[in-house]
Amino acid sequence: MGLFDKLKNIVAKKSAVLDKNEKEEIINYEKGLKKTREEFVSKLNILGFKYTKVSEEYFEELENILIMADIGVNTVMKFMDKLRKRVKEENITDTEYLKEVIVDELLIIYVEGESLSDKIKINENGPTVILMVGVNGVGKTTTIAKLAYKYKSEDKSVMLIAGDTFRAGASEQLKIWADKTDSLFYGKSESDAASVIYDGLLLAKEKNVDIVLIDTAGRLQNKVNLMKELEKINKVIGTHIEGAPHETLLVIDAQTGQNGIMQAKAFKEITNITGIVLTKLDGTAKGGIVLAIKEEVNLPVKFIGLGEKMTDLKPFDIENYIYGLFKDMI
Amino acid sequence: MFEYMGDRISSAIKNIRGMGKITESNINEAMREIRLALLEADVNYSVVKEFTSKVKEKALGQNVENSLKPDELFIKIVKDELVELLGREYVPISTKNNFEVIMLCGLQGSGKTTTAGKLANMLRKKYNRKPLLVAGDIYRPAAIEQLKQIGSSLNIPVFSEDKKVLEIVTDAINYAKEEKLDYVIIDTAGRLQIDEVLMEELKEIEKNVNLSEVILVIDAMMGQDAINVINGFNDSLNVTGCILTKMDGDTKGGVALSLRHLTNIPIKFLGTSEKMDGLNEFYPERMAKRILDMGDILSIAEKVEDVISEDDAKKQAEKMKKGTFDLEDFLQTFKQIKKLGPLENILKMLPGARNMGINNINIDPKDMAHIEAIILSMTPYERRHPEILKASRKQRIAKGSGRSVEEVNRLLKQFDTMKELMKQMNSGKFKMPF
Repeated sequence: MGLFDKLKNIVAKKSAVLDKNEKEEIINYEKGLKKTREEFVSKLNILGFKYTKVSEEYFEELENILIMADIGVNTVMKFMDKLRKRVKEENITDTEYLKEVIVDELLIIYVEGESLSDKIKINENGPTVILMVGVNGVGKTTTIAKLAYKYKSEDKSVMLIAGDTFRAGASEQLKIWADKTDSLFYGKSESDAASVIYDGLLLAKEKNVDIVLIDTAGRLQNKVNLMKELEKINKVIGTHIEGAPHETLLVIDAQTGQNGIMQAKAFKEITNITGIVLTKLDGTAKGGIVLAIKEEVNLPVKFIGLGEKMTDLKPFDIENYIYGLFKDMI
Repeated sequence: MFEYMGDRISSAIKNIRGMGKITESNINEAMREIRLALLEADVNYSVVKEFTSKVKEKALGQNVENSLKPDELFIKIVKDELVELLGREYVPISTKNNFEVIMLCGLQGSGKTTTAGKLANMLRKKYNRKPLLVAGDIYRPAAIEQLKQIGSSLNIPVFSEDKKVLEIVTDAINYAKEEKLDYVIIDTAGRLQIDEVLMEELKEIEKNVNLSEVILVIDAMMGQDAINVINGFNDSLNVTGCILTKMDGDTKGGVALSLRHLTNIPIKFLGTSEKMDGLNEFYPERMAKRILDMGDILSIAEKVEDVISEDDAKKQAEKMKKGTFDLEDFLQTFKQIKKLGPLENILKMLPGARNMGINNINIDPKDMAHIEAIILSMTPYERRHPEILKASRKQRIAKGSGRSVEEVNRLLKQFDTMKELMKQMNSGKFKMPF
């Protein structure tokens, strides 16, 4: 059985035992990744037409395609070395078969090494605190709204804390989302972020909220003072609620290029990043940077954003993701 | 920005140094490094290919001139090609008409609203225009509120109303005319270039309003997909210029290199800080030099001119020359430098910043405050004559500033080094790296 078939089987098997909602999930993945897939796959297919035999030119163009998907120069170079080795060892000449090997190896990049949980850690003894961090404009506040919607629809009580006291209108934006999702809200503009969060968490504990989502200001990872502020915020969070933050999610824009790796590294140094939320995947960007981040920084993706609707935030599933990318080819 | 690219290129050309001439074999490694550096900087793959083959072709075709060593010649070729890629000339924003309307567009989170504020601020300051900000993002919660807050912090009027976007824009233009405002800046909602419904909204504005410019705001951190976004917007609209935002991050900003070459849309400004004056004009030549670590003295000079009075600068320059520059002057300079914004941005523009190891310095504003505190804890006499500072005085200063004696010592040592450096510069001993 070819590797594609295997993947197809995995996804098919999954959907056989799944309920309707979960099946829809797979369909949503396919839909959301439509634009992403069209370009990526058509390029690979053209490559297959052009070269029926594996050759140096084939490798070069493949390298091009992978780099264009923002998978990352280092990761691509390593990937190409591995692929070349495999082609030599297994004596692969057929480009049709090689396509399958490519998908297989891409999966391996992600699943190799430590297996990392893609689930959100829930605090059994009190509020679960989720801290959202990232550079400017990646979609932290919108992602919080979507998470709030998700937890509300699971019948949990949710509170949003406006830790972005810097950007104009940020607190108002979060407040509107809190109202729309019927969540509690705590915010105080023009004060120190750490103190707002401190007070907010005290209130969350008092009200015994299930899920607390903390918004923070966008900060470029090379700004020392802003990163120090984040360090302080991180410390403050632990004072009221044990083990908090239970999750620190780094939000990354799928459009991001190689800088995504630096973002992941820098934020991981300051806070205990537990996962990544990859936003804006409904555009034409491939979000290949998550493969590089997994390989170089070892961080799993927990959610992906596939659209602007409240239901468009999906738990990340590598098989669904890769299947979504290559569906037309399988 | 771009540091790493320059780093790799300059280390790669070390091999060429000392060679008699440029040959295929001695630039091979350099070419490979340049290729990887550009790819790591998110420069579009096809641009990288074209760029490297052009550089190679030109380099091999050159006779080494007497005046230039091979490595210098090679760098010159790379620089010239970079300038070419970046579009050669600075293309300013339209200011020739008595009444101008421009529209900002782009993806979600690219920085349109902040940029709108910065543009308004700059148009007022530099061109004496009377700007009006128009809140055209009626979708994102609190986007209007954000623009209003920015407007009020700058004391620039913001127009908003609860209507359809095109109506808002036409009403805003009428309002501007009534109020004798002469530069209308339309902020729009972020949208994907493939979102036909929302793109139609922008097309409607373009069709019905006499726009001087349509400016695409792009995040400098964008990867290879940037070109799809740019082409998408440009196919639907007549994009006249781009503004690259978030250039103060550690992104290599390769999108700048792809942009002009693949679309011929000029980059007009770079966003370089979260502050409202963080908008820099884009000069291809200066940018190319900065990429190659040849420094960007002109941009520094312009920045300085903006915030420091010429008289002050002259006085201090005179003192530096004479070697009478003391801690009192240092303190004054220090205060002025603070006005320039984040110091690391300035340091990066210095020629040879990389060789001096100051290109990647991250300066904590707190450290700056500590230095100031230490100097302020000295008596005016001590500031004029730092050589009299001995143990007991240092202890007093440390106590007064809440810092340690070591820190006081370090500052004094740094000051001495700086003075020494100034002397060298004046005596012409200071060697520029290029």
